[in-house]
Amino acid sequence: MEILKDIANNLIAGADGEVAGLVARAIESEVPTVSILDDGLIAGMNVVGDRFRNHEMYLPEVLLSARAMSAGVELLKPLLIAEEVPSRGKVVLGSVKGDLHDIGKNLVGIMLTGAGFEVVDLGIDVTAETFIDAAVSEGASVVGVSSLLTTTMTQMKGVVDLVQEKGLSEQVKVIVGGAPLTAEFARSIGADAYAYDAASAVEKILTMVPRD
Amino acid sequence: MNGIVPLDALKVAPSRDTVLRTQGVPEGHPVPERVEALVEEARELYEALTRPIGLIASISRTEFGEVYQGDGRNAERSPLPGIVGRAGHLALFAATLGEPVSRKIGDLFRDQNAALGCMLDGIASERADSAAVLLGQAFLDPLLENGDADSATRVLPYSPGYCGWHVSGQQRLFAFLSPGQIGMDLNASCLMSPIKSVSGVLVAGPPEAHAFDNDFEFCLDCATWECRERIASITDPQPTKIDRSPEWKS
Repeated sequence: MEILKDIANNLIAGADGEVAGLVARAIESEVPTVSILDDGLIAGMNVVGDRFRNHEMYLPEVLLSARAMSAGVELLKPLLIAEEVPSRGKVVLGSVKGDLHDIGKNLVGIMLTGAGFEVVDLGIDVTAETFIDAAVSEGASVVGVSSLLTTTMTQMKGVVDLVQEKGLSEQVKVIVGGAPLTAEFARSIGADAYAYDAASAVEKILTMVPRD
Repeated sequence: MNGIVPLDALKVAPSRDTVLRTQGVPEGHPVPERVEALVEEARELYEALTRPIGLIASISRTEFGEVYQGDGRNAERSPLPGIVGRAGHLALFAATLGEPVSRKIGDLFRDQNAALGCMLDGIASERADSAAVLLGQAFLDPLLENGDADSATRVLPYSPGYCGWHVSGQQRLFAFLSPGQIGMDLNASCLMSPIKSVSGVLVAGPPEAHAFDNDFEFCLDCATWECRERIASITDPQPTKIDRSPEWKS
């Protein structure tokens, strides 16, 4: 459908006003809500994600596309709720206790939202208990933990350990990321996954939450 | 040099190319008009909101030992004690860009405008790092004038939270320096507010004083290698590409 291609292309170009206008037109034309979301907005964000991974697009362009995605999703939200369209999954995110760096974590949240996930952002300086309590109360299947400091990254093990202590290892998976981290470190603390950057976080989380 | 240091040079936003570099855009990469407009908007916002100011206080090795010890949560082995032992002079420092710019970054993210928020954050982070460099110069200049340092002397900043110095070290650093006088505060987790602030110790000494082997426990887990680049920038007049292989140790 031409209008869905236009939505995707304008989203890729970061044209938020145009995306909002096209989504409004698609709704008026009674294009199915799920098609607008999947074949227009998410299809566009998938291209953006691929181009970002291949270094054909960089962060500012990705974030403009994400802003265009938000403009479209805002219009779709009432319909998605009314039609009870399920989200891709729910992810709890936060920066670990003692760490105030949040840009990387915010980017992961934006890209996850763009991929159709519901994101519960706990902010910065988050304790292990808060991560796990939120995952349980929100019914999230993935907890994403971020750290930018070598002195706070060790706190990540506390989150992994608490998942195990509470017997939640099957329901709740932990993914870790942040500039000083390595895959080896993630493995050593028993995390389920490690993300090098925001795009790889989305990629990993997609495999952790298989679609029904 | 002791006391409050005006940081007027930081009232100016960094260049377009520097802003794009903070966003990971490589030099020469073609940038769409929308991104150019975003860069300009972020630079203007920064210049309207920033209130940069710094603070320096000289400190003896013995006094710094007390500050560094904090509440005993540092890594068992870490490079800073060795670096400080080889240093000529030390000063504690703190600097902030003020509350308005930090608050604006948070507001932009909350308002789903991460594109502008991220760019403003990149500018503010670059300026906060530059604050430490400017304070280093403000510390070095009088040392040079008094003959306490020479043209080979290099000053580098080291901060709690990095390379084995636990972030809880901020408590004693703040107690010694009193950066409340420039509007800075610590929360219960020892995190600074305003967020766009920096603090630590300025270490003045010969270039080799700053060098250390990367064989500490936390080095094995760390992927940034920024310390290697900092050391290379002052010990090698024409820095070569950093070898990030695990075997490379100095």
